[in-house]
Amino acid sequence: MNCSDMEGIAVICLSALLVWGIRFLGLVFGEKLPRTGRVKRGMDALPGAIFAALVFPGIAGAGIPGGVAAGVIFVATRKTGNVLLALLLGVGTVALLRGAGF
Amino acid sequence: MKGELARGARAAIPVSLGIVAYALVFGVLVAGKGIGIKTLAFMNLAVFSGSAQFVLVGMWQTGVSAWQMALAAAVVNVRYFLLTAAVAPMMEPYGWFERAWRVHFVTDENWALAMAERRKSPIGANYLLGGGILVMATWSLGTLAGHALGVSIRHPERFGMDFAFTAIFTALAVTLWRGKHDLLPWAVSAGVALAAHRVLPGAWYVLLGGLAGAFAAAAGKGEPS
Repeated sequence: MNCSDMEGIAVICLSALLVWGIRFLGLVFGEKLPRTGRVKRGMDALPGAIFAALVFPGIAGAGIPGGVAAGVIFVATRKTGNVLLALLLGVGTVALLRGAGF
Repeated sequence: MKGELARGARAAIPVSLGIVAYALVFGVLVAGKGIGIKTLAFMNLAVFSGSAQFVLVGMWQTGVSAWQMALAAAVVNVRYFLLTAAVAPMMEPYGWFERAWRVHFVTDENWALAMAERRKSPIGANYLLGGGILVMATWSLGTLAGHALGVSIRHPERFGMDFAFTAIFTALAVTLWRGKHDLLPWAVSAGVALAAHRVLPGAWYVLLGGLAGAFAAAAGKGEPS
């Protein structure tokens, strides 16, 4: 086992601990958390906001093919609700546009 | 009690087929990042969350520090907090040690199945566990099969595969869109993320963007949803 393997295991262990911690804390404290008002609105918006933060720099970094692919993925997901189909169409769009020289 | 474990697993068979498809794609991407099959197997059992693992592998070897990767993976999963809170009444018969390992088997899929079943008949935590075990088995086997497939792909960027993480996150984001009142948090999140991505190292842009978006939603007027 080399050094980068050890780093990988460390990252996985740390992630596992944090993800488990959220599951466990929900069990312990979740019922005491306010289910109305601002806290709820913030918690409800967080998953979408996280994904928005994840994708926009990635799309911007992929240039024109990335922007077109994002549009294709948006339409495909809205029309079919199938995430995997949208993924394949998006990746295919990037491959095609790159092949065409964009 | 044993019967309930089997019932929970049986109920999860249809969703498991969907999980296999995801798992295959994830396995291919993991192989593309040069991650070994043993590391992948360990990650499946230890982290056991599709979205967290996608985020983790997406940041793999991009120079992001270990704790930032872990934090980003965890923040994507804050929703688990709400899932396991709803499960608390089912766990009451058990001691804290048993609750601690059982809660690891809560995923979106078996949680939703257990909650739906509980409305029809009284079920215990074994129903949840049965579904969780099946989900873990199919997720693990699917990703390992995908990994075997993925190592045979040469020059993944020619097929646009380096865009695959952005693509799947975009599709997931679209499914999370709840309507017009998401416009403000998403715009704030995207703006903060784009700015932070330019000036800050690592994965700060994900955390700062997501938190800024959530705060914007909390501060906003809020619409009846």
